Amino acid sequence: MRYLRSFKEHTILHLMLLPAIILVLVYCYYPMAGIVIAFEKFSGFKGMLHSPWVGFDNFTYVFKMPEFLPVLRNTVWIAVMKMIGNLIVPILIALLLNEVVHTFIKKGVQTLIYLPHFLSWVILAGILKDILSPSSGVVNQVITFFGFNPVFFLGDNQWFRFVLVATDIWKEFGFNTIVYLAALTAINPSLYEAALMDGASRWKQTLNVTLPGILPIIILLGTLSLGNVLNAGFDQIFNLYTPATYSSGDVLDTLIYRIGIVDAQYSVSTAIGLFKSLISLFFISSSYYLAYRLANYRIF
Amino acid sequence: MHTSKKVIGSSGLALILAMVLVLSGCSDNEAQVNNEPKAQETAAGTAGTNAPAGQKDGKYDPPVEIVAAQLAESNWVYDSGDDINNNVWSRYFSDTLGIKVKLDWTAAKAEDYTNKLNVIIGSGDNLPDMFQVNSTQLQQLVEEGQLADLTEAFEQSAKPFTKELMNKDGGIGISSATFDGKLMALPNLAGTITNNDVLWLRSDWLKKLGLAEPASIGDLEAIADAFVNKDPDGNGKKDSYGLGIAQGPVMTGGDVADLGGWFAGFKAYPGMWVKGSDGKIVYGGIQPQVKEALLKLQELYKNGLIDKEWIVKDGGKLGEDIIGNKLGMWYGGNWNSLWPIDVSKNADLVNLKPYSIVSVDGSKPVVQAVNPTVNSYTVIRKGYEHPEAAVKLLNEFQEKMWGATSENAKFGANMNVTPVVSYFKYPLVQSWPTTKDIPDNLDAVEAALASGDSSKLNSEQIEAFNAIQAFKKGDIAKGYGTMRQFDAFAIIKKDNLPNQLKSEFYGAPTPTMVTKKSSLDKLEQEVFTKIIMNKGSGEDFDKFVADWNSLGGEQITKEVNDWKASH
Repeated sequence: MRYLRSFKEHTILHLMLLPAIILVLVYCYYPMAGIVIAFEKFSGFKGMLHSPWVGFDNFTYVFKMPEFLPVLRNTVWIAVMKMIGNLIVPILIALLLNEVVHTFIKKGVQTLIYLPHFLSWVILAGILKDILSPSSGVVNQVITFFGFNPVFFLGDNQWFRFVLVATDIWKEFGFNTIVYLAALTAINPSLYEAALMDGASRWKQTLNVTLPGILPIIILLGTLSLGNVLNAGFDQIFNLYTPATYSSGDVLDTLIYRIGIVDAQYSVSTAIGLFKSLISLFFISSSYYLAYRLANYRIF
Repeated sequence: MHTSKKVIGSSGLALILAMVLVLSGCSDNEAQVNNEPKAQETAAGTAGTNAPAGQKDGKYDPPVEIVAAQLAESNWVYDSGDDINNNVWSRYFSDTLGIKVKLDWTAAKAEDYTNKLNVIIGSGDNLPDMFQVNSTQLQQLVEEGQLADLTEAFEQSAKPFTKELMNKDGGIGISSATFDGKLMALPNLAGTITNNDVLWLRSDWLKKLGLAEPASIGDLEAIADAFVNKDPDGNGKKDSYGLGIAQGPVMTGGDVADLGGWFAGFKAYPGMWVKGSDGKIVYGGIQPQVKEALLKLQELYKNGLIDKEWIVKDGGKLGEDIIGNKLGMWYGGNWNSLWPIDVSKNADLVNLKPYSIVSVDGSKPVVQAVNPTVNSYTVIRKGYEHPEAAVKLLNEFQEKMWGATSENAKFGANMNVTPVVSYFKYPLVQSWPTTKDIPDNLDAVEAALASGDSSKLNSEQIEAFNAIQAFKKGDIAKGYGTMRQFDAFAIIKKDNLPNQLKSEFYGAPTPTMVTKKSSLDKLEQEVFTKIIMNKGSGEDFDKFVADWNSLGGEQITKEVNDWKASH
């Protein structure tokens, strides 16, 4: 009854919510019905409702693929490293930038590091191939200057995954930093004044005022990013990997691309996609629970 | 507290709406099911109105309408007032045949066309009456029983000239469109040995270093060594490569810096299906000759004769190396003179010439294998009233392009304006003589150049003739591409026209190919790349052969042999 009354009280507000809800329903929930083709031998002409039902055949097929385990391992490795890096680096940068007094420098740095976010991986891949080139690239010229042998970053399986993680962090940390900077401005200045009165140093202030102040945002972003545990980043890898780095760079998304788009086996690729989603769901749910238990923080 | 109540309230609302959605989703699906017969009814309805169409002198009266989908690229040029729906061909078809091709949709790029059609096939949407498909789509549509049987239509309506051109490839194209003895599509044929490789080589570097044209792989290695170590471009830096390979690597010929020509020199044919010693068909990529060819490449790589960064360089990137005087030797298709070679950016590139490819034992000529090329297939939707209309359109296209009454100026291309108006692109139903480039165009243009009489040339040949004349008069930028392309044609004609090796399999992908081939291809690329880059050995190749067989290759081989037995 209470819900109903509050519903009535806020009719207008609820109506304002409606367009967003409809969008979510149409583009997020409605297509979910398509999951059913993961359990079928799908044929477009027979349609979703009339294609022959094959149960879990597509899943057993996927799990038995010889590439599946290495691909899964690559995916998790790359995705987890990216998650950690993309959580820590922006926080550090945001804290450092927050200490910069000079507004001009602060804004300038902020804008510069934020720019790569807007470049597409197609363009970045071309640039990276040049700057990481062992013969003419800037990076290797620095390496050889210090007397080391040049490294073929994009052609060497030992390095390739690190390149993926590092370049992804480089591309995105500026954007993520802005979120934390916004959170920092929301901290009540009187807290700092109080801390100053108590004789807290800059470092102590960061530790006891700033960090707890942005903790909800850190937990929020960390929890949301856990859903990406199987998203290693298709655009980036697709544009950077080569047959020489297949064994370290092939991930679930590139596998789905080959099976679903190149071979047009929609059922099998849907099965992999569903598997991915279930794993993500599991991680999001458990991190949500952990956030609640450990930090007493609820996102929803 | 107030906030959290609201949150719960709205999530409850979302839940209700989600349930509504599930319900509406169900009803929508029902609606879809109900829709299907309706769509068929309307299709049958239109067919019904067309049904009484009689034929007078091969012309439909009243005229028939074909709903079609077509690739109409954005860079196509039309006469003023014309477009893809109304042009010299469409008027001709409706005047002489009484056939009106009505385009339901068009795509501006080949990739878009394929994707859009894939979506239509994948979603079970209504197919147009007439459209083009690739071999995978053809296979899918035949399996789904969505296509009309054209056997009778072709038998009865194809003119003798059409039948002659359509069988010029030895019947391979027609055979690839035949399922269970029924012709399900009209293949759009193209030249086959046109895809053979030549060796592109800087003749000025050869001369400067005192080297002769290569006669064997050993010579080629010596040339590569000299190109790397003896500073062929004279800039005082050791910055040039020996043999160029593009990323991939591309195993078959007709590309830029592919490996097709190199492999052929070892009688190795990855990507092709060849006859084994016991007469059965085997996959070329797992034969022992491939190992030999790969280990030789590895040796070149170890000796620094191949760019260490080749795996990240595509054709365009190699083009930069070519223009920058870094790369002077690679295997490639006849058209490499048009792209990526660009004489307007480096005048010295005029010395880049095509040469015969070489073999490891020096024997000549080197036989290259080709996939019998079928660009695409024209298909008719099952249930369409006039399947023979497609055959009639093909009759007229071939007759007006190459037949006794051909009119190139009217139907081929208008060369007198810039940009050239290429009328030949407009018709949906097409198929080209497989001998068009080699030897037809080559012979015709050579004869015209010798006699100075260009009156017998068709529009395409005249364009080539003019370009070559311009080259000979010193207009390098205008003529280089065509000049060297025809040089390459001449080499391929001399080497390969008398001895052609065609891939034995040219059907639609077999069931196991559909599910396993992309994985096997990936494995092949990975292993071959590793061996070339000296990260794998001959043993890795042996392991690859075993893996290839156990991961579905053996099954595919069996299916290919079964297919061969029935074709």
